Amino acid sequence: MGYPYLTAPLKFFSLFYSRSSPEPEHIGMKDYQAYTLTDLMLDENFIRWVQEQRSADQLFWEEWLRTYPDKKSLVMEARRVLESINIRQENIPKEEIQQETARLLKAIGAGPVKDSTSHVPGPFLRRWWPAAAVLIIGPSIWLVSLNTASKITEKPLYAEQIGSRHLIERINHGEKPDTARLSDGSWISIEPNSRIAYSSGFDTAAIREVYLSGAAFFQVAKSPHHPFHVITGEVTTVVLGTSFCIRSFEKDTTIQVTVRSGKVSVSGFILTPNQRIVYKKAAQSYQRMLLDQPAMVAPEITDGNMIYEDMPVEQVFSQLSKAYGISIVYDNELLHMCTVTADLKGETFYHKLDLICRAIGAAYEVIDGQVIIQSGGCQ
Amino acid sequence: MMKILSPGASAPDAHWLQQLQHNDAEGLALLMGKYYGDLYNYASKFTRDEGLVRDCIQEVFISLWERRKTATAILSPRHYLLRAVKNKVLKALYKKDQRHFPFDVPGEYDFFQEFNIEQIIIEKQLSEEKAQKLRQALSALSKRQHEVIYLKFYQHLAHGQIAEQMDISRQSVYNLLHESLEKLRSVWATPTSLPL
Repeated sequence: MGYPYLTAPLKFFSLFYSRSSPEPEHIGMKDYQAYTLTDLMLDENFIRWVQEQRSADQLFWEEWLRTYPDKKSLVMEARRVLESINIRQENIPKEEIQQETARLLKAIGAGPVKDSTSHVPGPFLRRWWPAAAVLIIGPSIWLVSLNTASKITEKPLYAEQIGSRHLIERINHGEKPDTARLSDGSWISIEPNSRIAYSSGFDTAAIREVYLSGAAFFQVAKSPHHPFHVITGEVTTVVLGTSFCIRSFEKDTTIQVTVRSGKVSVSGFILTPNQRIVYKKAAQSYQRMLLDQPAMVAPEITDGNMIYEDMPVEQVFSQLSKAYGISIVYDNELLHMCTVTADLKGETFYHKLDLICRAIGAAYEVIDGQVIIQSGGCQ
Repeated sequence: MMKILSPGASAPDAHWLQQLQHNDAEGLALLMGKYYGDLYNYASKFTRDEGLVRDCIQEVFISLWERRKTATAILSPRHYLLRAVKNKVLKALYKKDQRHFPFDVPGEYDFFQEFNIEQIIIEKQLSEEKAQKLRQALSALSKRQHEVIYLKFYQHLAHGQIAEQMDISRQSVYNLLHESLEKLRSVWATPTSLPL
């Protein structure tokens, strides 16, 4: 059977184990501007953002940082400290808990009751609750799930998902990508050995849903009131008008989402260009990183413009950041005396960064898909 | 879909007390299923005796069942169960070895807690220097700092609940947390360049 059948009950189970934090109060009501580093690190909403990556929290904090950009280094620091709190937890096997529950019931003289720990949600839940990937706006997104798929395990899930619904199915048995044009104006390039399914009234539904088994490239027509969902077993991708590529074969150990341009949110992580998120299925963990070879994304900034003479470093960083769509975090006040004279034409992103840092005597670190500049300032 | 992804935490909790009071053991089983992992993890920080941990958890649930008629005042089952299990384990340890267990000295119990340092090193791509600093910072934390970190960041208890749980004042909870976080913060304080 495909993995959802195997892992779904376990994951459901782990949901029971996850913290029972209250639903987010309206976190915008708190005056975080006055918060110290310690205040932030002890704030339940902040902790939840770091630990659980819920999209609502992600959106709130990204927005908050846009309003108070000077708080970015404080927030990054608080995040870093919280992320270093990683306690080894023992995973108690389900069987052991069942055993202990049975023992308890025997001790109190009760007969066996419905087994709470092995409760498996109905097929609808089973299909839906696992990690959801949410894509928000932006033109070209790659979802890559590296896999050596076994079609035998793959089909049952897909079949189960499309189930009894009356869906239109397109299967590519060929050796070249096959293009499907949908009624809403979106088009999908289906890779070999891959199949998609969607309903006939797909474009008028509240949610445009496409089921995918295998790999495909999507060019999604914008329609903000009709979110576009791509359901690929474990990961659901929600798109609001964009183009991207998904590869999802079932035997993969990871699912990777790579953004070349635009903006994407995957399970609460907002991804910007040149960032990649790796979802490890077994560990159900996400890691956000920068690509090894970031590509330029802003056509108006060409490499040839990147020749600087006594240019304030803030402008250089700002241009670099825009050119690659990568956020660069630094302390304005510390760096405002720094200038750069350099010819960055034709260099790779990291080499450009190296040259700038060398020019101003700074160092950089890549944390959580962002570049953090560390410097003692210039005279 | 979103509802399912963020399951209402209170849903399984809502009825358990009623169920208990109606002599319905299913409520008890649900409660155990939900909290067993957390209780086991917490209890095994006081002792490495797994059998003792299991027995103590059993006893806590049995006594909850026995007192179900008067259990109306339990607002947070998590907090209640964590406290009960801790007391049970510490008492059992004391019973087992009265001479070596300074039970009368508050806060002198063990707290075995390990951090996944290797995982942090990989995820954060830490340099050897940073990793070493992190190890030092973590080993410099006291047992009570470890416990406060666990209760705050893993059990998500409110500061008042942590104070009760550890039998200290709220101010002490704050101080312990603040000191612990400062130690961890010092790890990340100095600039280091990472090879990419």
